[in-house]
Amino acid sequence: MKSLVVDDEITTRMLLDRMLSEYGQCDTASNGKEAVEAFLLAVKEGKPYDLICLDIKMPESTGDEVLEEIRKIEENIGVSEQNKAKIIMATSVNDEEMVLNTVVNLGCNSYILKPITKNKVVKNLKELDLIQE
Amino acid sequence: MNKNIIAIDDDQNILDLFRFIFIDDSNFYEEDTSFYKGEKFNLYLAQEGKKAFNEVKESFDNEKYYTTAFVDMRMPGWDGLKTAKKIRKIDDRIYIVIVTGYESSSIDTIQKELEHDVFFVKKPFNQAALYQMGRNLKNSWNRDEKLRRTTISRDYFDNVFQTIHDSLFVIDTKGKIEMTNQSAEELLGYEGDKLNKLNFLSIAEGPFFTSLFEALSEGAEIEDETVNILLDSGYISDLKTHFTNSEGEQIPVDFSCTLMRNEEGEIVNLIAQASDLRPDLKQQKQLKQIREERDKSYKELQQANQKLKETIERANRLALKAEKASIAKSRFLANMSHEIRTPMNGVLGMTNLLEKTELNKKQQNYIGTIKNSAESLLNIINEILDYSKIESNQMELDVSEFNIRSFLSDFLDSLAIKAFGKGLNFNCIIYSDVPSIVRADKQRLRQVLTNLINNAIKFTKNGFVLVEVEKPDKKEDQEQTYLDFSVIDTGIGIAKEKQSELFNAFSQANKKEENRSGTGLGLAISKNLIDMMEGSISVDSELGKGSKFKVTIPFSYTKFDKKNLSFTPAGKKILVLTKNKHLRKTFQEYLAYFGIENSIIKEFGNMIEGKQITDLFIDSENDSANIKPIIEELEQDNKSINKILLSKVGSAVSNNVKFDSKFDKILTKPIKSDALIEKLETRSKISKESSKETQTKIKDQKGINILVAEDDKINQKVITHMLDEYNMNVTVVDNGLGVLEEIKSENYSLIFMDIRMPEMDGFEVTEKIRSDESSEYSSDIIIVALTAHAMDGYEEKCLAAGMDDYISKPVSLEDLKKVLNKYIFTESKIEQDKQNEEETQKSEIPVDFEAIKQRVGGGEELVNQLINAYLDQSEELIDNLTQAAKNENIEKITDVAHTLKGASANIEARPLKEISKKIEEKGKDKKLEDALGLIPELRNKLDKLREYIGKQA
Repeated sequence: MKSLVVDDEITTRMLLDRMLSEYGQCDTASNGKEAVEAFLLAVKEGKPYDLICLDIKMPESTGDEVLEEIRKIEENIGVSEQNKAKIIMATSVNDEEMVLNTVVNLGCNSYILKPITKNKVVKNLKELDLIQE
Repeated sequence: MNKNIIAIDDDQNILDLFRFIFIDDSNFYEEDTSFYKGEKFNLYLAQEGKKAFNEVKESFDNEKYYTTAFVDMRMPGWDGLKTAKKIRKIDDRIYIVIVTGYESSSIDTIQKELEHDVFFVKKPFNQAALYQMGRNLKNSWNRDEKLRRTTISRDYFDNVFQTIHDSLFVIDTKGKIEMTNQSAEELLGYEGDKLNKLNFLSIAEGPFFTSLFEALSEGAEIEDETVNILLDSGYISDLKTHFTNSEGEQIPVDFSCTLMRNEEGEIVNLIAQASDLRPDLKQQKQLKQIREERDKSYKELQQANQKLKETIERANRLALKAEKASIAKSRFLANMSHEIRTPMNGVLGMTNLLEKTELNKKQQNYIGTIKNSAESLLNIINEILDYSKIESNQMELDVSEFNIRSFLSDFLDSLAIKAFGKGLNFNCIIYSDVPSIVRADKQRLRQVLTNLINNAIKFTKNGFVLVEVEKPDKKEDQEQTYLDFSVIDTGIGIAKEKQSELFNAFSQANKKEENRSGTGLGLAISKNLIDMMEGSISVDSELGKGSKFKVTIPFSYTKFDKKNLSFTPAGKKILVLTKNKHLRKTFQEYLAYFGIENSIIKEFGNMIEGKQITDLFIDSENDSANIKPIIEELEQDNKSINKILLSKVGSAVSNNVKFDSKFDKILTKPIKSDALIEKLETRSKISKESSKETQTKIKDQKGINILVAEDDKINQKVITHMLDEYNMNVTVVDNGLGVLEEIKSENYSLIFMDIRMPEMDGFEVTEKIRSDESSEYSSDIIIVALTAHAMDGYEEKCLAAGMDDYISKPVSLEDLKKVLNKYIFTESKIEQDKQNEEETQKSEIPVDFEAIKQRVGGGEELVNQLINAYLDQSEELIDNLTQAAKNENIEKITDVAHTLKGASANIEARPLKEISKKIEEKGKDKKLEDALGLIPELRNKLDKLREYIGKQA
């Protein structure tokens, strides 16, 4: 499983990096621009990300903008539905409507409430069929 | 210059002479050497016409041409004329000189045949004259050739000159335009020859051109550097200048020019080349059109985008609305369940109370009807709710471990009463190899079986209803098995063609039957529930003969272990007498389950062989007259025989007074395995003791009863799972009324009580328990609130309501441990106090290393990395915060505090998390002053953290 962690806050990045590295290569990006670049690079190399963890609240471009852009790129290069990257939004705001909006309209696959714990992450990965029970 | 000539003669002497004349230095004839041979020729000599022809042809193909051919007229083979004609065919530029020995009258003919350029020489010829002739003809040929070639290149040049895209001008040294091409005419807008009469200076102005023509026409010394470059190198290019066209407009051009010199090196002409720098008009027009089209499409696209955006927004709104509507619908249903069930409970409860008051027969009758109606209404409501839940995928399985034998006996009695009331036989056979401890959703299983059995009873007028539980595969060493539950009746049956519709919602097979009642959802619900449990249902029925419904469901189970049984059979000899074959089978299987051998199970009336019966079971259905002698006979053999009467559940035993005196015990039908064993135990000392021992043991392990009142399934699981650690008896109820019911029948030490529950909330339940005057409930029971409200003051409310303590949700093992230590394991109370002290200290420590490790599952190394990263980052964040505070930028302050809050939570730096959270909240409320006021505290906490970490290191 190849994953990308996008968060402007370093400790979250480190934690997720640590947790996800157990399952394969994990890259990190500290803002939306880097995230899209990393995504494009991975696509170009023919090794796209299986999982992207996106912080919803970041300075400059926010998580949902990045999500939208990534989905647009996938659309443009014709990635089939099941081959699209699984995207987990990380949020510290328990705002049902916003999360619903992200899931329904922008096509993220799951979300995780901060603070991050190993259990939450593992549970999400299982639910998304990224790792085995 | 081409100097090739060819000579053809059959006489070798003549050919030698040709060589002498045109090539050799030596004299052929001594006396005849006086003529001057200015130049040498390339001479080819041939003795035959054909050979000469081949040579000419081959040379021509290689672009070597002969200027003159000297041909002897009379030759063997090809004669002179034929040879000359043949040669001419290949190359008609060649001069033919016919050399003939005599005057020939055929000269005219030859002249005619060869058309042109034929000369005649008479033998013997003058050598000098022949030489001169050859020389003249050669020169003449070369002149002609030059002319021919110029004509070709001139045509070519004209073509190129005219069609070239750039404008070209041939100008003389005075500036007069000698020649122009079409592009030049178009560029400057002149037609025909008009341009050719102009001076170039009238088109191209500027010091360069003036100086150039001064230099060219007058040979003047010029200072203009560009002109000098041109004069020196003969070529110049890339001059940007302007031409004036016929209408006086200035046209920007890219100009280059070449000087043409004659053989003497004098400049004779100037060739100027100019390319129009204006974008092509056509192109411009096209460009404009494209731009317009693009703008138009862009506008359309924008409009479409706008529309799309609006549509998406609308779709989003609708999706949200739908989502909300769906949530609202589920909530409505959930509410409805409470809203309707609550008054229904009132109706039923009050009816029950009313029933106990003094009533006359009529009134009792009415009450009975009210009760029946209310119950069936409640059933209908429950069915509709279940169906809605299934429809909206809200139904979830709640799998737990349970004993299937006690599970069935729990609810079969009430069904049996109905069956017996109709005069039907009712039996339940659980085969001995069916495992006892299984895992499934027992509520749903009960629902399915109840529905099927109820139907069987409803549609059967006489005969029996039989429930069978079988394990279809006989393998024992596995953890998963299917169990078959069959409900067999001798009822009206279902026609084959109706059987397929049976499991559809709202359909009842026997529409014409008068006794149909209910929603028609029962089987549909059952089918859905069975599907959810990954099982299957089938029906086998014949109209008028009865039906068999078979449900097959997978179970995981704990392997059957007879050691777990509390009864050890020893010295038992059991006799069972009944006419009912189902009952006999029941006994057979149950006794086999308990490992009791040597039992005699007989159809009543048969003679009994063998004696020493310890326990006798006799069916109440048997004829009493025949029972008496049997008992007497058996008692003769064994006075202490244990006599047990099998009586229908619900039937008043007093009706069987005749039997009562004779029997020690009554076992109600349908037979339950645990009740059966109980009847045996009372007379068996060995088994009694062993059973007591086991029970005590269990009590030791599980002396404490804990009740969990929580309606959320997940929380239920969380709490029971945590309590599992302590090996206590944990019972779960999901509503307030359930709490009251439970504590009436069982002694509980402690209740974990959810505040928000259906039917009766936690406060109300607590109040009921605490204010109970009839001491129906033990009032010293400890009540611990489970609250999701972390607000201040809520805890006080719990305590005020009479609860002992509270835990906020989500429940942590830590909290649970604290409560249990405080109230249950009181011995460890001192230890607890100590722990509490530690806890208090712990919440004040700047960062909790252990908690990080636990939460993220990492080691020392990760913790260090995290904290270092955190410190580096907080440096920057504090800078940002200070800057934002200076600018009074409340949004920025909020954002930074938010980030800091998240980071602090990640490294379990609780004090910092708290203060960041406060700042964020103030920021969100736009309370700038308050937020600013908290920043020093944040700094202080961060300093403390650093200090702490420094010490730890």
